[in-house]
Amino acid sequence: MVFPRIASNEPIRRLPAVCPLWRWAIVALWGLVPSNADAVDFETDVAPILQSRCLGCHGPAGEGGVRLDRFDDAAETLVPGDPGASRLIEQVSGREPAMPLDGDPLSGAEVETLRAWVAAGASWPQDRLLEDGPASDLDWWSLRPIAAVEPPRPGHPIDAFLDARLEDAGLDPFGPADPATLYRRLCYDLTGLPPDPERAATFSALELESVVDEMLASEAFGEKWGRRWLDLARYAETHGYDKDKPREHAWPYRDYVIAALNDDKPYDRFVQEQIAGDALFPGDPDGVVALGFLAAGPWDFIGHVEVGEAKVDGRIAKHLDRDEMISAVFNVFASTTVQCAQCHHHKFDPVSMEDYYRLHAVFAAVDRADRPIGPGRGSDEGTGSDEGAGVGKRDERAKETVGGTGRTVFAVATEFEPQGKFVATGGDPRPIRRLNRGDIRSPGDPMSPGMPPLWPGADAEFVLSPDADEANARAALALSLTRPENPLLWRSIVNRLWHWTFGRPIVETPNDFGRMGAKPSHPRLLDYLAARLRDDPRHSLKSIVRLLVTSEAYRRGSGHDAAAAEIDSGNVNLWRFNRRRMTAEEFRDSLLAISGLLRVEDRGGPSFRDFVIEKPKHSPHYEYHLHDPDDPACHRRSIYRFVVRSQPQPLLTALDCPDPSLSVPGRDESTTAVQALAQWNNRFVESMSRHFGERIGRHVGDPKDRAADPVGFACETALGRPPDERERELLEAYLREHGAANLARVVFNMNRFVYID
Amino acid sequence: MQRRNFLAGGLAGLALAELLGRDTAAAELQGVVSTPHHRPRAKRVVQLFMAGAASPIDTFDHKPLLSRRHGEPWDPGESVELFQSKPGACFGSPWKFRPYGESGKQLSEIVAPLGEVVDDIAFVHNVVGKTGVHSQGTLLQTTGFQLPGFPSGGSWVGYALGCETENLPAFVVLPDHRGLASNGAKNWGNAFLPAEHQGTVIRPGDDEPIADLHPPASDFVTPASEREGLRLLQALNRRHAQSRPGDDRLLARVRSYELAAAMQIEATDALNVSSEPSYIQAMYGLAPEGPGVDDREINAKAESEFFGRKCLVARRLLERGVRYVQVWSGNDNGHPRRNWDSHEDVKRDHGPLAIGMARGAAALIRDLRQRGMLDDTLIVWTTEFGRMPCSQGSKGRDHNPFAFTNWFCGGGVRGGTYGESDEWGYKPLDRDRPTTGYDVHATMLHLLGIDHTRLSVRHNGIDRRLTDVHGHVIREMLS
Repeated sequence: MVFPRIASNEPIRRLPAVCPLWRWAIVALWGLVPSNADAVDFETDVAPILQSRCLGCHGPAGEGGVRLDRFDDAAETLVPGDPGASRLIEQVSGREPAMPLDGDPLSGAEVETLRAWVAAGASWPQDRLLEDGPASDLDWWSLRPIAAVEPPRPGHPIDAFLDARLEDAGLDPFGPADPATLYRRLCYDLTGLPPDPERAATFSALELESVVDEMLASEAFGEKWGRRWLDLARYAETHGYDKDKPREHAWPYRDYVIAALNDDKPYDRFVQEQIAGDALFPGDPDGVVALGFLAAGPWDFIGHVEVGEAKVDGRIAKHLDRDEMISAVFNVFASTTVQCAQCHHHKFDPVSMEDYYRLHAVFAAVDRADRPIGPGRGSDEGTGSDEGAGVGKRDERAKETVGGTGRTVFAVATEFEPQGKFVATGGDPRPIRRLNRGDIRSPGDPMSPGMPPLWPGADAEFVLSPDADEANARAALALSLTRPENPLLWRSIVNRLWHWTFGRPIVETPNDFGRMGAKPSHPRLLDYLAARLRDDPRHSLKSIVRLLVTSEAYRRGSGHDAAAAEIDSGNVNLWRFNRRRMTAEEFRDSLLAISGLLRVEDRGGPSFRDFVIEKPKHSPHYEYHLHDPDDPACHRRSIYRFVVRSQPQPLLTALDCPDPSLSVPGRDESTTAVQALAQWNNRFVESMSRHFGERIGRHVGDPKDRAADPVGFACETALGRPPDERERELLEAYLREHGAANLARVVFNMNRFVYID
Repeated sequence: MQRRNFLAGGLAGLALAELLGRDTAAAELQGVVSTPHHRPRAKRVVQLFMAGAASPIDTFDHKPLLSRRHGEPWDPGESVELFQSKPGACFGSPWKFRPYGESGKQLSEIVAPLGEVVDDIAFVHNVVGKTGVHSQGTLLQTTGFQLPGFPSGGSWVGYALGCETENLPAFVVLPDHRGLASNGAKNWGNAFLPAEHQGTVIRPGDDEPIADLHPPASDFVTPASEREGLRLLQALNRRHAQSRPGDDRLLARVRSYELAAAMQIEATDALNVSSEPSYIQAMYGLAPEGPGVDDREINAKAESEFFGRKCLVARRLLERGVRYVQVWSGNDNGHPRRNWDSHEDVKRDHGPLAIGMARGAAALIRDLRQRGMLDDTLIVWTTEFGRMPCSQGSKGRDHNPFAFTNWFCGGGVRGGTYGESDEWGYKPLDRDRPTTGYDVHATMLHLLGIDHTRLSVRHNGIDRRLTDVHGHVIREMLS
């Protein structure tokens, strides 16, 4: 055989240039080998393997000087009729194949197909050029248009869908929860705070709607649901990475989220503002503050400020920074994992590498930096328009407390004070190229702004006027994403609202509706809700939440039914309500509220810090153990806590408060010894026990006085209901022996307290 | 109120009855890899992490050429882009090297204590990073990814294999007491794995080595209120669980308080280093003054105490069934410098740090061996990248992510050198066959009986692995 053998451990990409004479010889040989079409067919068997497994690098990019997309080049790796001598076969077979470099080895069947194809002469149709197109199309549940669905029966639409399924499954739904249980559930789900004992005592299911309306109208609603949004938005107030410097001006975005939810801002507008509010709503401060979303994730201070883009490491940092931003936009607003297309076309969903790098072009001019909020409501300029008075109030408050830092937000910006090597673009987008294998050192074609065409008729490339500035590209993205035709936007958000109400989502993977994600348990119900939100001229999130919590399904008990559990142990069909544990923030807020210390009206503005910073100059040390839990400045709701990335708050972390560097669709519920230690021994719990003990102590009196009922007071205040006989007996005995503060400590650790039925 | 008193009557008193009634040995917490993918050679791991980037060419990777050319212009024949500076002159190591062991492996005098065990160590001098930025480089070594949001190697191992004891966490972290390295707790975060797989921080020598292990100072908590309060709590919570059948979480929470009690006993015992004979304490380099040893100026005695104590505690944790211990040498980049990031003065910082590290690590290896535990305990020594063969200023070295050293020792590893750097210690000798952090992780998992390509968790549409889509087991190293 004339083809040169190469040592087997040498990667294919270092194939030496083949002498033209040999190339001629192979081409000549090609024609002589009879093709054996019966065995392996190039188009149906071989091309798909090359396309899906090889061309990401060995297409036009020609990594390592090897191309497998066209005959002339591929021939250099093939010896027709002799698989054993063919470099292609050798590289992909064996115990630890050299190729693919960045992926799982080919399956045995795939290798055999290639081997058989080469053995049969490696026929390649003349002039056939293989394209490395994404393997997937729009034929997937989440990408199809939202179906026009009517509830299958009259009555409450949610129950109509669920009941039909329960009947089909042969499940009897659980009866309604008792009023005190339902009231406590509503309080935590809608406001994140414990029930008012007097309201709990008199609540009747008949007043459900008015109570729900009252809660939805309360400021506490935005504080509870805002926390969920901030989890998704990977919000924190330090940069993360090395040094982990504080972000003094992140909080206006937090206040924006709370206000937007409380004001029931139309969902499309809420999304638009967070991507391109500056361009779409000029003059509206919300349009700038909302851009805190894009900047909320971690930021590599060293990579940007000390290294800078003149160096490869600085360009890598900048690339990763944009990737983080893009991922957040698509994971959160469209439940699409575009980040999978960084090194190759998305293997499962219709996102090509070009689509992905077009998104880089959209964000090519922006950086994460402090940005003036601009003239607006309640500011020195005092335009004082009525709309958005909420922001104005917060601004005033900020001015009073910290000398006007409320005029600035940490967001994306194209103008800011240079800091070391970190210099603003002034609005000129950085040139963006497709990066072969995601490698900054291997740039391909230049890319212009666009997005993956995720629904029929969507444009991949944005048509922008020649004099468009960078914000126009973000505006085009925001408008595209929020179109009524985008099925992902609407399905994604109603799935989240369902998740946050019923404790489990309809689609188990809320940030991924692609082929690697889960399918909806109730697809028709999901589409009904998505269409309802889309077609509502106000695109009101509150109206969907209201619909959900006024259903019978929401009002069911969370008890056990052996027969139902036999059929549906995971409660996919919602035959009962899902019991849940308090979140970390609910636990903390509850202890403060029950102890009578929660400064519930102290809303917005700079965050409280329940740590002491040591060595602030270089790498701040955030020392939680040095902080005094009795400090009233910290007796605010946990959403106003200063969230540190490198040093998470120990008590809340033990209670499953997640890593703020990730977009988190829902909280974990772990149960560990470390958690028990924290709940029993943490200084904050000790302090709150002392304060609640003082409150309980005021109810201790003459045992003959029926009004003097400290245990009754403790249970009604903390658990939202009076104790039963046995509880009363045990708790009273303990109170007599060890006092009210110790009683409070026990109550704060009770399952009845930390679980919400 | 003395904390010790609580041990007699607090959570611990509560748990004793429970503990006596159970076969604790059988109570192994299972991981997801209940059947190993192949025969495991190691059961547990100690990761020794040198924060700030330790210089191989001053410790384990002898480069005589640098000493010969010391002070001459350095020209590796290509343009060099450094993190902080422009390449200076050739910078020979300020320390002498000499051969050790049967292999004759050259070690610097500042890691001489490891000479005694050098034949057990598998050195890899051609590890390459992806970046010269500390935070990204550190994450790459601890989590396999350059950006935050991915589980630590220790979290993956705990997730895969569970714990051999219920009474201690599977994954324990012993940070430098002077501060956390770059990224802080992200280096031992569970990210998208279940929360119980996050590393639990223990600070040996601290007043409160484990957060919330004991009740805080309090004007109302007494031993009796503690004991009876927990009894009451457990009774109430059991009743609550019984009235709500079909929900395992409720009894699990009851149980978590019993495990907390067991942890109080077990962790307190594990940290009681003073129960070790004095020759063992001396072997690990513990100072007579203990953790309060004077380190106003960086010095070898203090560094030995700090690192040695952590190594000794690591051994005591491993003996008690902890699966993965991460030991840190060096803090953040604050000043005065107490980490390996020797931009200013290699001699000043690397000297004491390396001697302290080598004493503790050598003692750990010898001690594990004499207890028969070295055969199934894997030690992995790592750092975020290396340092340049040229000088920065006159006494310091800049970052070198192009070639640095990792070493392995123990369970299933054959001593030797696997992967060389070039004559400068600048890049791998064979530039086409470097070793990556992925390979290091793949090899670690392999030794634990895990195929790194089969340990994955789907997160946001991707089956995530510790090794991303990379990684080859360093097979030549396996014994």
